[in-house]
Amino acid sequence: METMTLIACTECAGDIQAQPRFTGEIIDCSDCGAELEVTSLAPLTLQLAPEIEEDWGE
Amino acid sequence: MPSVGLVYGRMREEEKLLLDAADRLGIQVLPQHDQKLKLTLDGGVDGDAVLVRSLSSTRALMVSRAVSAWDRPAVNQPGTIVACMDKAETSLRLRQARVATPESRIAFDPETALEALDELGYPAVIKPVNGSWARLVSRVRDRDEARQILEHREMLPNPIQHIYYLQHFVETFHEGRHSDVRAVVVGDEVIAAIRRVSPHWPTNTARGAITENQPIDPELEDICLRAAQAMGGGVLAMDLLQGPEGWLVHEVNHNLEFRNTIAPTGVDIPARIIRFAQECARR
Repeated sequence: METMTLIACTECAGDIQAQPRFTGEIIDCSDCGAELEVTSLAPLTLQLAPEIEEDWGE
Repeated sequence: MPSVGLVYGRMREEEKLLLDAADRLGIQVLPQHDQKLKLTLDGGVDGDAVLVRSLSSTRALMVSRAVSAWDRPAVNQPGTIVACMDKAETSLRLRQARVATPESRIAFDPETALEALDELGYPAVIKPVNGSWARLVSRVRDRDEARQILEHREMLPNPIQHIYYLQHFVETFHEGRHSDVRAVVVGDEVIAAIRRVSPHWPTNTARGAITENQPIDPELEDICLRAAQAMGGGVLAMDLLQGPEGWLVHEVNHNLEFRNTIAPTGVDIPARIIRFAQECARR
């Protein structure tokens, strides 16, 4: 069974419990609502997800 | 068994569904975050075939170009991505292939764009040539509205936004609701189609449209396959409107979001895409 990792939100320092499997996943902070992107799995690191760029989409 | 590289920019629901489908099918898929790629002139992306799912179309095109240069199949091919990522290019290719598409104009300054809109008639649609999710797509009902939109566009710093791509507005409002059709083409088959329904225009699922199954009749199938061929083939999502004289293809997408197409159609779209990518490696 995979265990949840506890990490601090980069924006509000609130606690986030997460078990991401891939970099590039988006995790929402339930305290402040920030969208955070998983930038590394080991160690688990998050950063504020980038804003939508002009060339994003389908 | 050939492996499939999966290059992604964001691990969306679609990418997770593709990975789950690969697990079910016993196909080895190698997920690779485009942010961390380091391409050389000889390689840098794993997989016998590479499914290019970057959220950024600029990155998708670069990855597809590189993979093709390494003599490995990219899904989609760079030519297909070029044809899809620029809406004016899409219209030109569709017209060249005699695929019905809304009448369009391309202009380079606001005054000429207004003249072109007069030719098309109102209402009309002003779109950026790039972009997705209906960003900056505007329906204008008269010359005054058009002038305001064009003035705003002129102030944007990106010169691409100063290419004014103008399209005849095809009525989408029927029986009290707006709708258009999205069809998914994988290789030489139209595998699924949905009707996107919304109380407002545009009818994009990224903007809250709900979806229902759209039967694939021979006419719909024919135009989708001809449009796919015009764009270079691969895995594509066709956006269609129903004009007075039949179907019209108005946009083609190379990096389709399909999460809302699975339930109403019952088609295992991620499995079809993964299988197609693996078959490309065998060819």
